Amino acid sequence: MQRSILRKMRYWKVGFFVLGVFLLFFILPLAIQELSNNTGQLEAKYVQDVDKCQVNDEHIRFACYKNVIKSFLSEHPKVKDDFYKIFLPHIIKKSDLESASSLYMTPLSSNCHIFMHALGEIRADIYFASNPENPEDLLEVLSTECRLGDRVGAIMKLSKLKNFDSEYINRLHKACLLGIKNAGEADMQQCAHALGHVYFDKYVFDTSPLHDGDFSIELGEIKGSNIEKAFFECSTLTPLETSACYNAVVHSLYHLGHFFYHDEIEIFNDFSFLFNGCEGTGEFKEICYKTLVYRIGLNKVGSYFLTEKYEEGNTICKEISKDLGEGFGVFCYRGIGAFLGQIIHEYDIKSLAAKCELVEEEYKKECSGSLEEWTKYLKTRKINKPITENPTTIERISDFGVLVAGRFTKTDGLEKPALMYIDPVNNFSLINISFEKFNFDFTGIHEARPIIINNEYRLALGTHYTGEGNTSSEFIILNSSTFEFDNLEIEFKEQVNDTRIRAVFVGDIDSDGEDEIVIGTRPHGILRYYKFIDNKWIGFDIDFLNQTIHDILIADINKNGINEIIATVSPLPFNNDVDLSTSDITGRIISYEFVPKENTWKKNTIWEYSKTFTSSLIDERGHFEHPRYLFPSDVDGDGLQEMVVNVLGSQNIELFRWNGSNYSRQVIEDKLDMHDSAITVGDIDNNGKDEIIALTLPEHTLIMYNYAEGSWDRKILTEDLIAVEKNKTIRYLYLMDFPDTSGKKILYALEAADLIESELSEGSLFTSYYYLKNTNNVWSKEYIGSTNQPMTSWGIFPAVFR
Amino acid sequence: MRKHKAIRVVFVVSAVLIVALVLTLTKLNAPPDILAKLQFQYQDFEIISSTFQNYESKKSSASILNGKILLQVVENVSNESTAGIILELDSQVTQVGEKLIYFDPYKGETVEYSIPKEFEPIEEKTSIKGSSLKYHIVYANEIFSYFIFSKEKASFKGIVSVFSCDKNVYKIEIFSTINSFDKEKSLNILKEFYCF
Repeated sequence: MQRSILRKMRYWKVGFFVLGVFLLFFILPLAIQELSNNTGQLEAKYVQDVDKCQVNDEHIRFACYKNVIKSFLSEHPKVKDDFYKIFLPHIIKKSDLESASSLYMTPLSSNCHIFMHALGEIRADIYFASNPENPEDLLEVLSTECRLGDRVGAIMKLSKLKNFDSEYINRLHKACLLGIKNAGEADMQQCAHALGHVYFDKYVFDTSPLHDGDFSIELGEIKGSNIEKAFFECSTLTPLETSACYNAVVHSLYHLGHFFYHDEIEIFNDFSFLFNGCEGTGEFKEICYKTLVYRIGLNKVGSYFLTEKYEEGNTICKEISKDLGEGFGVFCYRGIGAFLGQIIHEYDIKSLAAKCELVEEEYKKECSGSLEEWTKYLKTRKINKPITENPTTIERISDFGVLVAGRFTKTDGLEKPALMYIDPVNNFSLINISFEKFNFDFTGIHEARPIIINNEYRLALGTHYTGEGNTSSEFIILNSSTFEFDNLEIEFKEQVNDTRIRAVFVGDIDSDGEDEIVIGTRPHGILRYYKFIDNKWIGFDIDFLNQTIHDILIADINKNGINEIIATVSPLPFNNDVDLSTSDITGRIISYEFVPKENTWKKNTIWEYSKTFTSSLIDERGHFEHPRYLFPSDVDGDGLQEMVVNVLGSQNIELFRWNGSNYSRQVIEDKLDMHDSAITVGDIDNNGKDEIIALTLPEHTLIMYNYAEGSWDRKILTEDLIAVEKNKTIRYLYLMDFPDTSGKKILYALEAADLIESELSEGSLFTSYYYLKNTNNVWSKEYIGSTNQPMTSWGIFPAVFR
Repeated sequence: MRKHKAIRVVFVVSAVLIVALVLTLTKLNAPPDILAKLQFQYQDFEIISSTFQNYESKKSSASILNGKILLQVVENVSNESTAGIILELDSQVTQVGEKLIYFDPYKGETVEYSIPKEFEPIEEKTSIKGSSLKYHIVYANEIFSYFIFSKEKASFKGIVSVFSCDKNVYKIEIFSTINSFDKEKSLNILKEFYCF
């Protein structure tokens, strides 16, 4: 039957048949699986939930993580094993050091470890329900992240689910190691550590309800003789493993005290509960006390030395020495050194080593010696580093994130491109996006615009070189398929024959439903666009203006359903070759609209400014009258876009509106002296209409312009914005969206007015970022963070194009 | 008729192109030289890339009958660094037999221990391609750690050798289960991979 069917079919039919079968049975299931695994758009909520967990102390935080993970996995049951990676950047962040509710949780390894531990427990629960007899298969696919956190969690949970069966525990121990590729001695120790926790749960107290946030259980009496049983099990391991196992038994005991007495600091501070646990542990009594005191130094006292409460920390160690003897007390100080060593290594803040100097004189060496050993030890371990001032970031790009582009000027006078990332969702974390791996030789980024094509994140960079004689610049497109800045790769690079790519904008300019990237250069005015065709970027010329393009906007301002490219242009400044006596120095706003049928661009002048050189047109900052920054805006709430422009020379703010056949111009502000570039537009008061926010000079008063019933209302938001820092300047303002109902924030960068070479070593030249927030109609300033080197900003942009 | 012939030609050309493409991609994905040899001669080949003292390092493994070959390649090592890299890789073996003074982070203090004499690495030499090559006979546990403290934990026995060829430094470990260890067979494998 089959043969007769095939005989009747021609070769090409057979081909199609085979192809169809292939697609149906192989490609389609894979595609469906991939779609079901695609968590890209769905995880934002969970990431925020994880962020919220981190305001809690450890005992609440752990159960909170478990709830988020449980909820995530119930929604994404077929998620890939490494899905946790989308959460890790939010677990590992520098801001913890400044804002953590519990400073002892600031070692990232601790916070990340408990997150992974929570994940391991959840996965074990799910796995055990369907496959209780083969725990090895689960441990095979778990990670090694954050000191094997998920393995420790899974081993504890599986042991509990199997009623702490000894043979089963041994299998788990073996599987813990065998599932790790290239496991080493440190992994052996951490697997032994997991066993220690299991033995505590088995012989002393089952801590699993506490992991789910159930603190209602009776604590009862903790018997030293039971702790002795746990220690004994540990003692059967190899010498390399025993102390890791002992440590876990004591760690569990410490947790028990912390979980039960977290609200009663005084009780927890006298440690009698903990020390009583070590009584009756027989031959293990000494190791119990020493490990416990070390744990107290590490998990509790060390964090005091990050604050002004270090004397309180000294007192705790002193009391312990008094109660137990000096031989035990030293472990408290070693614990402090261990804590500081972790912080120094993870956050790369070497100056913290000096904190050991705050320790009691005779124990300073215990602290510093331990700190040094820990630093050496951690260098041999894979450590998840936090986001720092100079990081290789591991940050997933937030929908609300913001990019600040510019140029770093190092103390040796070297310049390099700068791109800072601010994530308002992640406690306004500030990150320097590292380009080190690319070895870029250009010196600055003037504009950075995100674009998403085929579900992949891209960043278009308009760059420049510094110095005389440079006649070209580079247009770069970076790609990150995972929406993380640490995974950026160069996708496209092109030399552009002008000194600076001054403007970059993204939008659909040919009405094909896909976005293109448009660039404009200075001083020669190359207008060019780039289109993603057949998986590669191809550039096309639009115009050559031979004058500076200041800014580009893509919007349908003339309301004909086709986006225009709108550009502000002028021959001056930035061009020393212009002969003022003969040249046309007209500043213009021009538009280009694509005509598909003719495959050409229709060019239109929207507005021309003064055509001749007039000295009165030069303001005190030396500009000819010309338009600069363009903002699409719906100022009257009619749902249609107008265009706001700031004009240099006259220092006006102007509005352009399409009247059906032409553009009309309205001057919004011509009385005040407006800042050259510190202007932004958006609906800041949530009234459905856009407002204009602009800075006046020289007082640095921030003013809001609101359109109401045909006229403009001017309102002062805040006066003297840069107050005490008079040598500083604000170059740009940016209206920052925020995911909650607290409203938009006004972001700005405060930086040195001039980067004078002789002063480059001064920290005062670093750029600081602030935002203004509105509370009951009062705008107040909040500090975000600073760069760690002098920076000149060229613009602020959304990190994700929306 | 002509149309059918044309379709057949298109089919044949497409098939040839697909085969050529697959072969090219396979070749592109194949690791170079010694790693390719390991991959194509033995089963269960795995490879991970990392760095070793700031040099690119590839750690690979493959299964042999009753055992495993572990091969680490530190690539493009400068002449000045070669001796240091060899020493460092070699010390991973030699330190096992020494009294180990070790900072125990779980204990917060420096500890000393040594493995029983019977499990210490034994240094030997063999002649390969006219030159003498040092290697160690070692015991290893299930994760191929040389730190064996009891007979029950010794799962494998094998030979380990560190050498350099051209600009690369190699560490090769050829392990067999304790009962199936055959030194001559292991040395033959070592000779296969030495400066291949």
